[in-house]
Amino acid sequence: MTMRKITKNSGVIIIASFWILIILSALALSIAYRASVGLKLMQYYKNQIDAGIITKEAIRKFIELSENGEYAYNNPGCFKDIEINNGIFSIVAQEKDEVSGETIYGAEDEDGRININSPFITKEMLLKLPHITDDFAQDIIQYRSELKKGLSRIKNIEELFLLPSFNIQSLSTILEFMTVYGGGRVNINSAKKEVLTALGIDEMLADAIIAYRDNCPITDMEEVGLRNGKDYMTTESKCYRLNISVKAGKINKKTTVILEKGSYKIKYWNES
Amino acid sequence: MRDKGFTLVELLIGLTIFCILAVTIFGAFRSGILSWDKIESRLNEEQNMVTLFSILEREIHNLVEYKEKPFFGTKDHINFYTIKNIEEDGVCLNYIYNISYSIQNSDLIKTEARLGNFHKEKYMKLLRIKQVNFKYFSGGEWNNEWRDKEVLPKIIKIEIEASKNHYQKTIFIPITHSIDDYA
Repeated sequence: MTMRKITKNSGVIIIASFWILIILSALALSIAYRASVGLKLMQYYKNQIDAGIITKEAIRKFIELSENGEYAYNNPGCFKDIEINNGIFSIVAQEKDEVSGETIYGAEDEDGRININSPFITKEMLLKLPHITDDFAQDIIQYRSELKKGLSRIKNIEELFLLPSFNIQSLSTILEFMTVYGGGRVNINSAKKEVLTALGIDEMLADAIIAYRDNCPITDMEEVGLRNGKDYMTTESKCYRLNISVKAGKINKKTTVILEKGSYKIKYWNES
Repeated sequence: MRDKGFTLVELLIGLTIFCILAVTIFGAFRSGILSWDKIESRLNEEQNMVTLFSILEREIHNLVEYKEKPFFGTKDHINFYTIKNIEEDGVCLNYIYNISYSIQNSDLIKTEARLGNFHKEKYMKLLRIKQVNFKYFSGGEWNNEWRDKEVLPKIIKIEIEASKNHYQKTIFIPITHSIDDYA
């Protein structure tokens, strides 16, 4: 067959161009797929960077609001789902409140916890906290005194997990009631009942204090009949704990920050 | 119409045209594939680097002081303690890790050791690099070394040059709780 005969057959050109079209579109599809994977990855990193920026913005916003006299501890209007730079942040004090069962938005008071670095906190006090074994309380006190000889202190609460007698049962107790930051004295305005009773206050008085402070904050310990214990109790707070959760695109980022009052120095930072 | 076939001249002209076309098309394809490969390997390198930096950034943000020797750094070696949140057997716990990055035979090496009862050690070859350069900001000036100091540096600068493509990346990571006034 000659060339002329082949090209004279009807439909040859159209079939050839179809083939070329199919091959080219397969090529285009593969390039587009490769590019879309790259784009998705870049979007992921962009969101991650955004989440970091929003976290910092959230801290700035918190400082600004509390400087302007906004209530820092339970204030959903200021700290719930705030939109900022194409993302959303909330500051959560407690996922589920024991009394109302609702989420509390705002800062947590770091001084509502027992500061295990304080020399006035004894083994007996620690033992009154739930799920703390005798060995573990002993280990904490011993670890503290060993560090104190070298003029040091417990710098991270995570160091307690390294003690030989640590067990998983006491984990939530440590995370909920203990701290190594803050002023060293427990703020009776924000301490939980377990903390108040651990400090040697009997249950009746602890309940009375909690009922009293809900109406108006305690400014003097003698108001609620506490004459002793000024070495380890106070009515003021020195540190905020902010649990910031940020949503940027598909990224959910959680950061815990401990912020000193007044100077706004960051004492602790942990991001997921 | 009678079938006459081709003359020699026709054949030669045809062959020449065919050769020119073949060489051009081959060259175009070759350069296309080469640049595709190059971009692919560069993208790979970029992605490796971005992943490395995002991990490093988190580790340095979460950096903690632990006992006497909290932080040690030279030009191509860095060693610090950090906190990692890890879920194991349904329990989510913050562990303290000792992490170090260094260079061995132009590989970037990471070692991480979990402290205490849950001791675990890992040795990882991350990527092939030409050089790495750590610098430490004290608040007033940039230092090439950070040892025997009681305070943490404020910012760490990391420059990495990849072994291929001369691809270079620089990043500044602040140590959040070492910066004085946040507001």
